[in-house]
Amino acid sequence: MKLKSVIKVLYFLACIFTIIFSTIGKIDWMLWSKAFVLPSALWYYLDATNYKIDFLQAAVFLSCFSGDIYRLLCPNNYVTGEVLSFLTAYILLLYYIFPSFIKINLKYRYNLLLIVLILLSLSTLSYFILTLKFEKMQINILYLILYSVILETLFCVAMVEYNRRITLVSVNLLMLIIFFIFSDMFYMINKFYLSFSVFNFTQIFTQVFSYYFLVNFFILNGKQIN
Amino acid sequence: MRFSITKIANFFSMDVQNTIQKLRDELNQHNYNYYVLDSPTISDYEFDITLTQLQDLENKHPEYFDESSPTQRVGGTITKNFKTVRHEYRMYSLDNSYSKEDLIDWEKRIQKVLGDVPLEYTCELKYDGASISITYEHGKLKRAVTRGDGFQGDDVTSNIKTIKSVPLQLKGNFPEKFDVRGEIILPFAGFERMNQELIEIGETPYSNPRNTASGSLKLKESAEVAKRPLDCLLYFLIGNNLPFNTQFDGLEKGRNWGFKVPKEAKLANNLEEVFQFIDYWDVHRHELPYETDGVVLKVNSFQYQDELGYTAKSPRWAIAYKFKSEQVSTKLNSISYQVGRTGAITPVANLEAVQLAGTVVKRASLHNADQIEKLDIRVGDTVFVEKGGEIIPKIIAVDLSKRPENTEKTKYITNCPECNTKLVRNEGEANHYCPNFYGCPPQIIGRIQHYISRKAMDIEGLGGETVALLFNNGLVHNYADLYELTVDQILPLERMAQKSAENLVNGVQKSKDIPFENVLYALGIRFVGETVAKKLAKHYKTIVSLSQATLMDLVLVDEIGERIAQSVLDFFSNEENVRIINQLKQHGVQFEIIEKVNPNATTILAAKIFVVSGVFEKFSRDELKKAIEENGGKVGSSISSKTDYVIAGDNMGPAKLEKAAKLNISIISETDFIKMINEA
Repeated sequence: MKLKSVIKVLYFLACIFTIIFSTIGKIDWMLWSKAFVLPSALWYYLDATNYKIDFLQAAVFLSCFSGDIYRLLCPNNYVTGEVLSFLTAYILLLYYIFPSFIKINLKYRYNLLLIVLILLSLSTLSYFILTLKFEKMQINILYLILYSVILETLFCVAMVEYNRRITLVSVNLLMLIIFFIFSDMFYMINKFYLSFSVFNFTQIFTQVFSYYFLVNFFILNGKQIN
Repeated sequence: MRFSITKIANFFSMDVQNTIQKLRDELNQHNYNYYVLDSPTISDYEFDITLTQLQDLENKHPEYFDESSPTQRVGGTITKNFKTVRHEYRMYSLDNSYSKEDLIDWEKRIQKVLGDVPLEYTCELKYDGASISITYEHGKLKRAVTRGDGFQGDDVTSNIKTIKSVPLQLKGNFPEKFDVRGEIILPFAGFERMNQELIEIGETPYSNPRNTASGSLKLKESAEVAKRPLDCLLYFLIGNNLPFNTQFDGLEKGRNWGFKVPKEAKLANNLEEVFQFIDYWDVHRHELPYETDGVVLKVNSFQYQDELGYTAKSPRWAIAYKFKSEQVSTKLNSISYQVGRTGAITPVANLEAVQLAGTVVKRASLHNADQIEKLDIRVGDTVFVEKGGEIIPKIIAVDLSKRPENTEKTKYITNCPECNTKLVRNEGEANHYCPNFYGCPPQIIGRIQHYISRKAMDIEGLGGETVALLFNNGLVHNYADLYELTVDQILPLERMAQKSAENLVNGVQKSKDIPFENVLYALGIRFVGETVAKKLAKHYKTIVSLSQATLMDLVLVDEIGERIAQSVLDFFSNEENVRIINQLKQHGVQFEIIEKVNPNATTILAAKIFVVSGVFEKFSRDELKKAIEENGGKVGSSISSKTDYVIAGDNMGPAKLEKAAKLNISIISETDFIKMINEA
């Protein structure tokens, strides 16, 4: 078996075990399996790029990794570190995508209408979530507002790209952002509002597999640029 | 002259060998004066007398035979089949440009690689003839080969030797071995004279000088070629350790060694001067004694040429600027539709015959439905036709003032003209397609024709028409069926004799040795051309692993995009294709790469990207690139953040040096590189 296949198998096994252990409530075991998810995704990326990585991409992986550590190891109600880590990852991702997005998409006027529609619907959703009473959560609400604005912008970008041209790059980007949104949304609802096993399953599933799309997006986009 | 030399020779008992050599030198000089310098110093009569005398002496003393003797120019050899010979240096074609903006873009592309360095360009006229590569060894013409497919061509040495402006023996200080690239042309005067003679004897005259020159090279009797007033114009010298560093100096040296180099070539210091050259010759080209269809620009410095390198098809350091095409108007009689091997439908305009750029044009491509819509072209219209790139005629506009009354708007066909299947048009594509891939006769025939073509399976003894004949007689239904053909099956077919049937069967059997990359190209997978086939074959090594690849796997292969990847997946997901491949496997066609093991190859440079710049002492640039690849490294064409090392030789461009330093890339010498690979 080629190294590439070994890494892939490792990643998917780690994902599956994480989901299983999380769903059956074996949190200690889940810690072990989840510890393999992001590193194996990163290894898969490095293998595909001959072990070369740009600073920006490395920073995204690092931020996600730090977010995961906070999520797994920090006290239940203290989420600032986790939110800030993922927020950094999203800002960096936006910074990575935005220049080429602006260059290509500003030519298409019809995209503006699409952007307005997406912003309206996502803002409504964000408003709804943010007005929920997350009484146990100890965080400055401004962080959460900024978090949702950045995620909305990322979704707009991904949707417009997908709408412009359906390619592996745009599909992976869109899936990545959708998985990010689902993961964050259900994590908050499950942890701070209404705990429900389906919510837990959805958040863990979307979180671990979002890294697969992240890696694919980086590889394919990098190939396109070169 | 004749009497003087022989008398002196006899008088001083000079030996025969010296006499023969003196006569040869004398005749070579007269040939040069007449055909290259265009200033003869003796009459034709005197020349013929001297030649006869040399012939007599050579006949009496065959021990002094020399293949470079001027007597060899009269021809006499008969070549039944021209031997296929591999070019030592590939003959690339040139990228074309049709506007000055294209040239500005070209310069920008060059500067992106070289940096902002002062550039000189040689401007040469683009001669319209047949390209030839002539090898000289020790100053003597060794071999002349046609362009062919750029990798290999036909050996036409005996015919080329009859062309008087091709020196058989060089003058001055020439390198031991090198190749000359030139164009065999037929000047207008000679062409008209030939046609006049044909008309006088009631034969059909030739259509244009270019085709006549090209056809002459393939005549079987060299004596016939000798009768034709062909000319050879040199435009490039190639070899190792040539005593010059620029294209322009190369032309000058070539002139000194006895080649005919057109004096129109000019050195330009910037694009402004290039444009002046183009503008001048766009007007004055009609005064030249031979056909030209554009200007060729080359970066003058060989060092820069090396740094720029080549794309898969053409050098990055040269480009052809095509003059605006000649236009004529004629009437559109009808529109017919052709089906290609991929099922693409091409509308074709059937025109009232008209003379254009030396050929009679009866048909022109209308490209696709959008083009018909855009031109609003209708049967009965008067249309303007021009030759795109001077080869393929195309309709550029409709003369609406001459449109007859009551004409109807052209309705694009909805069903295949061959099999009546409903046509489809994929989103974002200009062409309509016949989806009946396995049942539409032109598609099947086209695929088999592609399979047998020279760049694919190179099946000798089988041509396009024979493929159609085999298909129409039900002997083949796909390319795998070719391997089941027997002589007895083929013999009853039209124009088939025992020998041709045997050649066909042998040719098919021989194709089993064709390497995997060619086989992959021959399969006719959409978007998989020669280069892509090579990339895929190199990466996957076998058809089995290629057929099991996922979309993502394929896209990760160097230079493979989504469109190609999807096409490969579609091909292997079709059961009929899999069945044909299995059939081919059973017949022994190569579906695996047979790797030549290089004992010196290592993986010490794996995943490292190198850029090579400058001139080196121990390696040529090509040898250096080969050494990098053999040790697992990759060679990049320009410095980027992905580059790991720049191997710097003498005269490395300052822009590259600056860029490498800015990006903090290690700059190593040739010696450092040798140490690096010796560590393995």
